[in-house]
Amino acid sequence: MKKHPIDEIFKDKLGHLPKEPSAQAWEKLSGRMSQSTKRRPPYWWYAAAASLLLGALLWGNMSLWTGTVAPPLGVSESEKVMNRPIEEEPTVVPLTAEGLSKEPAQAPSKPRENAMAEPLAIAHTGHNPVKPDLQKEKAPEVKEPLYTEKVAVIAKPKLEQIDLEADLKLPKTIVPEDLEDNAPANRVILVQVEEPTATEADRNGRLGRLFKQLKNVKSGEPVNWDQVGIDPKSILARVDDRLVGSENIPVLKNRRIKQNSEDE
Amino acid sequence: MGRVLAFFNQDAQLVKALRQGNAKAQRQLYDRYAAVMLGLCTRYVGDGMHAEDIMIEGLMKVFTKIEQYSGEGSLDGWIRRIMVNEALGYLRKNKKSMEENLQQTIDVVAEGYDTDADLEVASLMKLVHELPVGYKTVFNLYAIEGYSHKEIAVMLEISESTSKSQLHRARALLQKQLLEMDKDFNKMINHEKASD
Repeated sequence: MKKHPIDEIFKDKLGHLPKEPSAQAWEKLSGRMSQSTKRRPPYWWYAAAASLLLGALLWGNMSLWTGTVAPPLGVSESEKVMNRPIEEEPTVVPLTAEGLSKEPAQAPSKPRENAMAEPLAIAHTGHNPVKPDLQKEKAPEVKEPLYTEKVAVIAKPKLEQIDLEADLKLPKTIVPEDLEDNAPANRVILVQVEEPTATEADRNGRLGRLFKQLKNVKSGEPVNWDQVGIDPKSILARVDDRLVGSENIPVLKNRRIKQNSEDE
Repeated sequence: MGRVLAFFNQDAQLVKALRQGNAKAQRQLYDRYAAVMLGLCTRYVGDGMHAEDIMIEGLMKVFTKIEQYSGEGSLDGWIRRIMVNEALGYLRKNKKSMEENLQQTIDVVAEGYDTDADLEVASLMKLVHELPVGYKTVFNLYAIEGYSHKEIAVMLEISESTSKSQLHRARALLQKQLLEMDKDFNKMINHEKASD
């Protein structure tokens, strides 16, 4: 396409028209360049810090996962219970078939946060059938099935009968001072702490199970070969047919001698 | 200001050295392109001081973004593009003040040209700067830099038809100014002949 004559004139004259920069231009440019290189943040520092943080997080996560680092059980569980709202006047409804079916309607304002919280809250109020059960050592026949069933279905906690008045040194129960002062005398706070039932072998995973079975082998206890991952039948040495039943097998000979000496 | 000898004869060598942050290479690039790029920036902005700042900013970008230069096009073209973008950025930021300082800018543009050839160039430069900012920018981009209307539309965030109409009006104004200049020039020559 042919260019417009005006365009041609201006392009020829001004297209590569130089204009000498001032004497300070290079100093300005080099100064700014050095500033920008100085100001450049040390990225390798950030990278190192990030990798350290990531490593620490991973380690922490792995430790929690394997169970080597556990949160303080008694305190955390107790705090959970303490933070729950306390019902002043809980309504106790006699157990009926209808009552069980209409359970949500009878306690609409009570939020059900989790399965474990339900029995804890019940124990917390001090106006439930568990309390007379503990105090009088005798449970009311009408109300007992309601809660025993609930406890069994929801969380299956081990509700032990604890004489709190006799034994106030419960290690995992914390009663705040203000609650102690203001609470009525008959208020009892029960804390059900579920301790992890995982054994050391479970926590350590497959390696732990393997070591346990090897320990069993060493101590002569029954060994679960499935956990070891070995089928003993496939690895047992084959005995020569000629030796089977023979009187000359040294092992059998020794055993027989031992047995005879023990019998004697 | 003493000039640094050309250690890097080819663009490829120069670019390689620039990528390594070689100070001599930076200085060589400055010596090779600073004047031409300052001329380019002045065409867009008019004011010599601001044009120099734009040129310095543009060269800083060249030094810091040299990794992005693929080597497919010419180094000159790549640097020009950076300078044009810098100048357009400046115009966008200072749109209002540019309009206000237009007359002042036109007077500054004519400075520094002494010979007849320079005077012709200075006159042309002055004509360009007398154009409204929009006309001037489109004319610079299309007629001198060689961008298409489509590219200009993207760069200036306007429609292609706006770009075309602005170019058309810029040409018409420049043509008119050139004819008047020619008349004045002829009158001046005739007057000089008569006085001799």
